[in-house]
Amino acid sequence: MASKLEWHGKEFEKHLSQATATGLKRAGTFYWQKCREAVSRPNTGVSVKVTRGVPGGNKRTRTIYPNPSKPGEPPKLRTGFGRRNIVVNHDPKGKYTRVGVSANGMYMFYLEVGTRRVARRPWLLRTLINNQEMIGKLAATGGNKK
Amino acid sequence: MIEEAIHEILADAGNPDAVALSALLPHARIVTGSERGRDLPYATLNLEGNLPEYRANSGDMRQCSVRFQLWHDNHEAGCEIRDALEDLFENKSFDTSTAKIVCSRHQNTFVLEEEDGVWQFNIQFDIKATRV
Repeated sequence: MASKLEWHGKEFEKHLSQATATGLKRAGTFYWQKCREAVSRPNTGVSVKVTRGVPGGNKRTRTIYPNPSKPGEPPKLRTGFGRRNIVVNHDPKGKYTRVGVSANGMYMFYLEVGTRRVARRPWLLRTLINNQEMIGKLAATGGNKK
Repeated sequence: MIEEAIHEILADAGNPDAVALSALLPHARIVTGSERGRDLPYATLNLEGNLPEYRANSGDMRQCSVRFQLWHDNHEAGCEIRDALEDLFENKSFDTSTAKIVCSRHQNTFVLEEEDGVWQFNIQFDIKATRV
């Protein structure tokens, strides 16, 4: 009885590399979206009458933000600047994917860890921990059911 | 549960690593939650993730991430406290009156200098624990 073994190592390596890259990309994008969701609770501004004006300032109305985030909660949305600066970066070779803040939105990092004077508003690591099961699944399977 | 257990570990006079840490940073200066306006140095302790408990043969298991934040005006002294904290919790298990910490692993550490020159040390551990 003769048997024949065909080795498709190169093809398999290529398939595995592509599957991993796709999974990482999907997982990174999913995490990025969840981070943006976490910082999307609105703190809508309210226009109030100016009772005491400042030189060069608006003399009639000014905007206040009456519902800020509480310590321990993710930061709330005012202008969307911080949310816009949450970025995702995929390695072109598919080796890694990164989610974080750009240099302009560095204050979001200080909100994440807190400082001596500003209580922390964790939004990055907590989102990762809360979604790690789904992120792990996406990274492993790329969202495919197989 | 885990916060209580950690405070018990920090105050344990029979543990040489805890005693070494207390010599550098007294236990009263480590508080749970956020703390502002304290005299330096001090540290806070927070649970990062609160993953649901699951059943294990040793009881209900809980897995969470614990973050110590230490503020110190002297970088070298802060590094000593950080090292003592890592020595105390790195790859250790503990039996306390509230929880049994099955596994404690150092996960991440970073340091940043705040605008007033105070150093902030972030030390994060992954902890698995069961209720007693």
